[in-house]
Amino acid sequence: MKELNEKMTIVKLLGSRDNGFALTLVIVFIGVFFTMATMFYYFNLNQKPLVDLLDRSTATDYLVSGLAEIFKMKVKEFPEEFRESMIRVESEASSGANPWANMQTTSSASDPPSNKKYYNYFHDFKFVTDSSWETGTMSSWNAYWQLFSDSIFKGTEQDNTAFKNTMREFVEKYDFIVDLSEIKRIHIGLPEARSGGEFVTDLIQITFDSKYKTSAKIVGKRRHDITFDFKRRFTN
Amino acid sequence: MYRPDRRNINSPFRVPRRRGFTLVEILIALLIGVVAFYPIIQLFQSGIKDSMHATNWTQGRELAKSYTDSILSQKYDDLPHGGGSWTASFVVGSAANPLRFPKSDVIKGVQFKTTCQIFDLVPTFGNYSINRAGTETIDHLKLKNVLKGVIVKTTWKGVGKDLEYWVLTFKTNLFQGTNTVFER
Repeated sequence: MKELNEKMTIVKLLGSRDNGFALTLVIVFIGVFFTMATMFYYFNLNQKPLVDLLDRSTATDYLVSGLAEIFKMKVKEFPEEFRESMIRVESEASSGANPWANMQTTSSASDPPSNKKYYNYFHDFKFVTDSSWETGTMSSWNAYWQLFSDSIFKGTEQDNTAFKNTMREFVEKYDFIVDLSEIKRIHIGLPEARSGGEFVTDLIQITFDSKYKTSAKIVGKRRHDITFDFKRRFTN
Repeated sequence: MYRPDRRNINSPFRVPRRRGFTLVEILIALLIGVVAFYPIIQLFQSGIKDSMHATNWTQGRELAKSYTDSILSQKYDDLPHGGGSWTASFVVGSAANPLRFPKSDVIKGVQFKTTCQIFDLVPTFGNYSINRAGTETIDHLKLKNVLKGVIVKTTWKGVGKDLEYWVLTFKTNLFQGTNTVFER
């Protein structure tokens, strides 16, 4: 009976006209609802920023996976050159420098500095400077990205120029850049005897960084790690 | 004649006085209600539009991704040259399993049209090497018949305008062995 009385007291308290507590709750609830709705409407809070981010994130994913395929192909076609370049880059990194960052910033034109010729192997995958992207211009595109350039060699490229123009349109449309960030030989295997000689299997990790701006000028960043195994003939 | 005194506080016939709302108070309340409800109604309308927009956009993006994956899963030699035009019709894939572009899909009443371009590319690779005598050299080598650029575009009707989503990637002949032609 005592408990029932206590419950009744609470019910009475909530519903009491003298106290006004229930009315306060209702007013606060409705007030918050109206305020939030007004803010959502006037500040234009909708799903567009999320859609924008997903667009750019997907676009960078596919471009990075494509660039990684090209890089794998280059390693496969030019394994010894890759090894020579990596030994020098790793040596530079072990002395405290950051060759991957310097690879781009120290080069204002299309080629790496002459005292770091081994940057050439990786330079094909750094195709637009941060500064040109941040200022909203892609003027350095043609000077910088030599991978599909026909300026050095004239001849048989079928679609290089048309593709590069379309790709430029694509990159400007989604306002992003993709940049080679780092390459690591994360595992160097031991020689194994196979038919045709001895082979070594290495694990190579390629890292790309992407940055993108949404239409609301929100800047997003992502890191893409792609690992592949590479079997090479053991020569030394 | 007996007339009970309803105003006397001690009278048993007293009726408490109740004030009504004046016309001005009701009009002000209505005005406040209209001002407060306007954004709510707008929010519902824009919310529905926004939701449809985001749903269609996601659908368009997924279609573009899906067709890109379908193209990438084909053999390198089964990708025809189709660069330079978004309107060209062509077939990707083998004769047994053809993928004809442009593709048309209708999903929840919205028509999505997907087209693609495939470019034959010749990358120029800068290569560093060092010989036994310690001389450093840089070669610029072109590789032919190894690389295609793939661009897929899905378009659909949005609210008041045409919308589109692009995917760009590359296909190499990495898994088919090499028939690379070098050119210095």
